[in-house]
This record gives sequence, structure tokens and C-alpha cells, in this order.
Amino acid sequence: MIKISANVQRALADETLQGNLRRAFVDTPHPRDEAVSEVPNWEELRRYARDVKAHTLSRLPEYLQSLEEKVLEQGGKVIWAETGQEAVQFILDLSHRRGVREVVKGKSMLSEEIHLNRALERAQIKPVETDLGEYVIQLAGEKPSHLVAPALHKSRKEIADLFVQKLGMAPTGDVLEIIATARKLLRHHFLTARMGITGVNFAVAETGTIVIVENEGNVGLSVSVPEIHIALMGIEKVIPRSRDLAVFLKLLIRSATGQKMTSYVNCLNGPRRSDELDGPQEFYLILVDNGRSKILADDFMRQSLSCIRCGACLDVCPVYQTIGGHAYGSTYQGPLGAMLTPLLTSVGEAPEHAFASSLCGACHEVCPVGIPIPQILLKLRERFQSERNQKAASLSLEKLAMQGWARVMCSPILYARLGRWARMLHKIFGKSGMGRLPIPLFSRWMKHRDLPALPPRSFRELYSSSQEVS
Amino acid sequence: MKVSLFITCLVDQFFPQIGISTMKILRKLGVEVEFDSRQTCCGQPAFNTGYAEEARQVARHFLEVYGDSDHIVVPSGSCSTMIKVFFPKLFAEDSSQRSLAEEVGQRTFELSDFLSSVLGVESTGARFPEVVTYHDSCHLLRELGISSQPRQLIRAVEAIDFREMDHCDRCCGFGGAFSVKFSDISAAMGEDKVGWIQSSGARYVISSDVGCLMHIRGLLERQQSPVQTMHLAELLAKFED
Amino acid sequence: MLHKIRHACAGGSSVELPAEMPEFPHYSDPVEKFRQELERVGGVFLDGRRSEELAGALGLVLKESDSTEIYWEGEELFQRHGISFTLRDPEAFAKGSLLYSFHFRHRVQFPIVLNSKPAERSDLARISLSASGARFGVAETGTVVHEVKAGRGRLLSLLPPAHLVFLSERDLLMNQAMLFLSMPPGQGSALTLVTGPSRTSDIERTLVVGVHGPEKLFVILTS
Repeated sequence: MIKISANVQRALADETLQGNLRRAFVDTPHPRDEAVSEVPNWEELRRYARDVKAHTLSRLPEYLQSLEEKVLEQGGKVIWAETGQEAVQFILDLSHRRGVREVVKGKSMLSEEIHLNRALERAQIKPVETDLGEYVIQLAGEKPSHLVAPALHKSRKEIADLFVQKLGMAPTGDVLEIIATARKLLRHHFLTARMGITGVNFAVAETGTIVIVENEGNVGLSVSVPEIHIALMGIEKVIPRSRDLAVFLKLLIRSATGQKMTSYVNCLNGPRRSDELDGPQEFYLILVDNGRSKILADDFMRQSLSCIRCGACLDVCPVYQTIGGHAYGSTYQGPLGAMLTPLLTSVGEAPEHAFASSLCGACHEVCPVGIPIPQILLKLRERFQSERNQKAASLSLEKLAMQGWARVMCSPILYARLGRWARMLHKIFGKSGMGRLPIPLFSRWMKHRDLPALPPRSFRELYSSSQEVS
Repeated sequence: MKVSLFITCLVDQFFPQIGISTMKILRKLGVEVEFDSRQTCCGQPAFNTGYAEEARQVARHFLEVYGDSDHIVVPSGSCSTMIKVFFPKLFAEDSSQRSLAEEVGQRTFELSDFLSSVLGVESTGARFPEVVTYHDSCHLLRELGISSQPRQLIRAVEAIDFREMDHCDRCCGFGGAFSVKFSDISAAMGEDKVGWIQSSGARYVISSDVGCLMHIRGLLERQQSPVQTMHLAELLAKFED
Repeated sequence: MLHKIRHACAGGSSVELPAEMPEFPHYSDPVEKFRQELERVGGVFLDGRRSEELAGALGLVLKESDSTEIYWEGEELFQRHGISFTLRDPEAFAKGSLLYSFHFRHRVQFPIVLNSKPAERSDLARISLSASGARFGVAETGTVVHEVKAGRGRLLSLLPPAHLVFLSERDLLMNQAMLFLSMPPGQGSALTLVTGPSRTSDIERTLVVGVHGPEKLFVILTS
């Protein structure tokens, strides 16, 4: 079971983390804002993308089949993996058959989701992350804290220190030096590794094209130099037509980094053809379900599968900005993690995720495909409460309290009477005394703030007496 | 014009002066104001924590009380949102209740929106010679899209010095149940907010939601800050009777 | 698994594909827009539309990339962009060989004299400047599109620290929508949209140019 509450104190007390978060999100405006505001028909693009996704999800089997046919026609192979474990096992088996000892990896959140690196290491296969941020994270033995910028929680100094310690780099504060060190080391891995593993941003059903967006050129190399390319994709990543890419790329890239285009958009159609000079001889596309079809079955929750992993919701989320990504304790973090984690697993497995949000709606406002994240979180809260109270032998105290509360709120007489009693209690115990009452609602509130003083009379009392006067 | 007030449970029990101010403003503008004492709560505390059935019970009670009202005015962005946006969703599977909820929702207005958009009021005639700033409460801003109306009314207050704070539209961390379930995160978010309020130079922070104000005030008091919180209605009612 | 997905889909609501694509921007001077966008991301734009400008443009590229050699993609490039050449080795265009020209003191003379040697990966990794032809350019974003097909590869444009792209004015499209509408269904195994040099913002969101791909990107526009 993942408990966010267990990680909050540590995150809040970590001054370096707090400084890094503040610098990344609060002190500098996100480049997204300008990149979005200069597109006059942004809302139209969002609606289009939302509708295309909704349509695709409603006909997912057809589109996945079409994708499979096209990939096969081009000489690639398609693997259907119902669980993360099946996907991992395929990769391990293939590596063993081909004698692969080292794998270069492009950034893939799905590979994090299925814990691929751990499994590869256990099988004595060395995974080398080649995205700079991922490389930093791997060196540090950590997990990504952000979808798009995995090492965002680290400062330049922390990264430089890490490189000095792990790679023997001469001490420097220069980002260029750090990058030159990484480039040199990774170039060697690119030229020697025999397998490249990447994620997928979009897969086009009509053409069988796999699209991967990047800036560094590490994906380009990972899918070009090694003999084998494995692309891992969640089944929700398929889109119907090539032309839809124009819209999705515009939305994804501007939302993620504020760029108009990334340096590279790799559109891949299977392994190298015999008359081409280079490229992988084998291409595998692994279609991963791992809980997605369960989400698909719920017409409302299905919207969450439209997510294109741009990370904009993380960038604007005040909760994420306050505790960082690691405190979520899950692969996906921020609003999309709060939504996806309990959906992919269960509300019992991630009981706090849906509650770790003030429901401010900033995520929904920026989401390029218009996912109503706060509403999904509310539905998840509902699911959590109903499952909790169905499972338990007796109703939880909270449920009983809520039932009592609802009864009071449906009865104006009870409501008014309770108000009067509370004011009497308040008179007896005083303002601070209320916090010492054994009611968690009060004590948790009063840990950080005082309760407002109760006035001698409620509005309704004042109103009825003023009516008597006039 | 006749208006039914929905005073909200928090205002009723904790901050009756906000209700009085709301009434005062409307009466000054020549509106006939009515308060139905059968009213209680909009149901948000249950809805917000996942107790949909309990929320529905309370929402049904609300619709019973306000089913026939012409205009319902609420001095809260969050409770207006509950009625206008979330009631219809609560009754998604009950078409007659849903259409009633939708109708009532259309007749429900947050106070500043009612003053600006329905009555076309530019100024309430209030006077307040102080430096103030405005905190956008999330539901009012993002669910109802109301941000210019309260600002216009504040700027129109005589002798006021209105200064925008940085990140005025960032959540203060209240979030209803969130403020107690994740009290530490909520307070950390609130402390950021308090920082921006203080660096704006304002002596008063104005907002349209009592929840945010209670949270912000609690934090300000712990810091022994001289900055005061004030509900928009209280500010707009600062005129001679 | 497909059965499971089909089952999950069955109960849901059906949504139609949107009928019309949203508008993408058009420009009165697409060449100018392309230049602006390319330069904004740190690429270098050179106008080689008049043949007398071509030698100067190539000279500048050699100088900027501190190279005395250019490694060329293949025969089609010369024909498509009207670059005159002679072959030192008649077999130079054969499959699997690397084409290159020497330019002492960054000087360029036509016809360009092409040498060849067998392509080895280790050689590719040592090249300082390579040249290829773009299938398309996109004015909206300053993008050039590299197509991998018969006789071409992926690495020549990706491994060297500097890369030069020839783009014909007639292949310059207005926007991304036109690109994806006019893209031929994949004949080759890869198509790469390249927009400026390789870069990263992974450290403190500071933009740094030149990570794994070319640090310098030049585009010469031809007519």
C-alpha cells in the first residue's frame, strides 16, 4: 500500500528539495504559458485532440489491430502483454536468446511502471539510461520525480557532485562540462549496446508508425545504432491517422516544454529495409495493458486514458510544487499520478492519492486534452469510501459521522440547535480548548492554524431578531 | 427584484457579519431580500470527501428550499460552484432531480457576479482608505470563470489602494477536507500564499470564500502578522447606512 | 488480451472522429518564417538559391564547423539540389560506401570532387561534418524532415557534431498539418523531423545545446 502521508514530513523538511522546487516552478514562469498563448486556436486544438482520443478509446480494439497489421507488414513484430511482468519477461527472454548484455534506453515512463531496470539488472543485463535527466537519476539510484524532466528535483551542484563522485569528473559548476562528460560516456554505450529500448508517444494505426519525441538525440541513437529496437507502449497511445499527429505534437510539445517543436520527432516504421544503410535489424512493439483495460471498462474513468504525458499538470499543481514527485511514492506523480495510480492499481493499494489534492483545478485548466482531473479524483474518493464501507464488517466512524451530519443538514431544527450547543461549548472551553477535544478534525486543523472564534449568535438568530424588531 | 439569500453554513455559524453585509448591500441597491431559515448547507463537505449519497441528501434538501426562488445569491464561490456545477453531476442518474438542479443552478449567483452581471452595478458606494489585495478562490475562478467582477467592485471602492499580489490565482491550500487530511501540505501551501500577500504590501486580503479566509487568517494569526482577512461582502458594505 | 480490451470497450459510449482538422497557420513569406524559426532554435540558415551563392554558403558551413571534409549522403542529393560533382572513383555511388570531399582552407570549388571509402561505424563516429537532403521543410516551426529510404541511413545525420541539410524551396511546406497530410505512407523505415541542434533542459531547466545529436545544424535553401 502506498501512503503519501508517510513521505510528506520528509519532503517538507528537505531544504534542498524545497529550494529546487521553488526555483523550478514558483520563481520562474513556465515557458508553456507563452507557447500556448501565441496559438490563437488552442481551445479548438484541445477539443479536437480530446475528441480524437475519446473516439479512439471507444474503438480501441480496431485501432490496435490495424496498428498490429501495419507493423507486421513492415517487418516488425508485435507482442501483446497483459501485465507488466509479461512485457518484462519477453524482453528478458529475447535478451537471453540474442546474448544481449547491455541495453541503451530512451526515457520511458512505462518502463518505470513495469520496473524493467530492476528486472534487467537481476538478469545481469545492464540498462543504461541515455536521456540526460534519466542518466542522472540512474547514477543517483533514484526514481524520476517528473514526467518530462526526471531530475528536476536536483540542483546543478548536486548533479555536478554526483558526476565527480560516480564518474570521476573534475569538479565544476559548469553545465556544459557536465553534459560533455555524459555525452562522452554515453556515446560509447550507444556504439556498443546491441539493444535499444524506448517508450512511445504516439502510434499511428493507419500507417503503423511509432512516434517518439525528444530533444537530445538519444532516442534517435537508441533506435538506430543497436541491432534490436524494442518499443514499449501502453495500449492507450494509439491514434487513428497521420494527420492527427500535427495536432497532438503541437499540444504535447508546447505543453511539456514550451517549445514549438522539439529537436527531434522520430517517426519509425519497423526495422531497416534491406536496401537501407543502417538501423535495427529487428523491431518489436510491445503493447502493454497492465491495468488499462480495467480503466477502459468504466465510461467515466476512461477519460484518464487520454493523457499524453506532457507533464503540464505537474508544473502547475501547487501540491506537487510543495512536496515534489517522490513523495507520491508512485511511478506517476502530481495530478496525473493522483488520478492514474489508484486507477491502474486500486483505491485500496493507493488509498491517499485521490485525496492528496486541494481540487484547485489548475491541472484541468492546462490539460491539452481536457481531462477533468479534479472530477476524476472526486469519483475516486467516492469509490474509495464505498469500497471501504462495503468491505468493513461495520461502517467506519467517518461514515457514521457523515450520515449523522447529513441528517442534521436535512433538518433545519437540528441544525440550528447544534449550532447553539457548539457556541455554548465554545463559551465553556474557549477557543484553544476546542482543539484539545478528542476530535481529529479540530486537532489537525489547529496544528497549523487557530479556529475562528464562534460569534455569540448565528446569522439566522440575528436575522430573526432583526425581523422581530422591524 | 426579489432575491433569496443562501448564507452558507460556515457564514451562518462562524461569520454572521458576512451575511449581514451581503443583505445590507443588496437592500441598498433596492433588492428585496429574503432569508429562508430552512436552509442549511450545500453538501460540499460530503461531496468533497467521497460521500456522494450523503451529499445527495443534503442537495435534495437545498433544492426543496430553493426550488421556487427567482434569484439565489450566495456570498461564496465554492458553494455557488457546488450548486451550479456539482449538483447536476450528483444527480446524473436521476433525470428529474438533475433538471431541477440545472434550473436552480442557472438561477444561482455568487455575490460579485450577481452585482456585476445581473444588476450591472459598478460601485456599491463603499469607502475604505486602506491597502488591499485579492485572493482568487479556486472554484470561483476556474469552475465559474469569475475574476474580473470582484476586482472591478474592489477598485470602485472609494479611497482604496488595490494591489495585485504575485500568484493571486494560486490555491491557498484550503481545499476543504484536504486542509485536515493533508494538514501539513495545506499549511505549507498557505504559508506561500501568506508570503505573497505580505509582500504585496496590503493590510487586508480580500476573498470571496470563507474557507480560504479561515485558513489564511489562521496562518496569519500564528505568524502574528498585522495583515487582516476580509470577505468581499464586508468590504463592499463599508458605506454609511 | 484483445478479447479483454474488446470486452472493456463494449459498454462505453461511442464517439465520432472530428470531421475537420483545426486551422494551421499560413505565412505570406514562408522562407522568411522558416529562417526566423530555425534561427530561434539555434540553427543556421543560408540562402543558396542562386548558384553563385552556394560556394560561399558551403565555405561558411565548413568554417563554422571547423571542418575540411564534408561527408555526403548520396547521388540524389546532388541531382535534386543541382550541385555539380565529379567522381574520383567510378564505383563511389555503390551501396555501402561513404562519400566525402576535401576542402583545403574551407574552400569550395565546383564541380565537387567526391572520394569514397567503405562505410564503417567507427569512421562514421569520427566525421566532423555531414550533409544530407531534406524531404520537406516546415515554415511554421523551422523543421527539416529527414527521410530514411533505399541507399540512405540514419546515422550520418545523427552522429557528427555538425550537420548540413539541403532544402529545396519547392519542398518547403507552410505548417505541420500540411506535412502530415502530404507525407507519403512510409516507404522507408524512419522519418525524422529535425528542428535545430540537439539540446537539453534537464539540468535546472537551463537550455544547453549539443547533447547526443549534432551541436550545429545548418540549412542551405536551394531552388
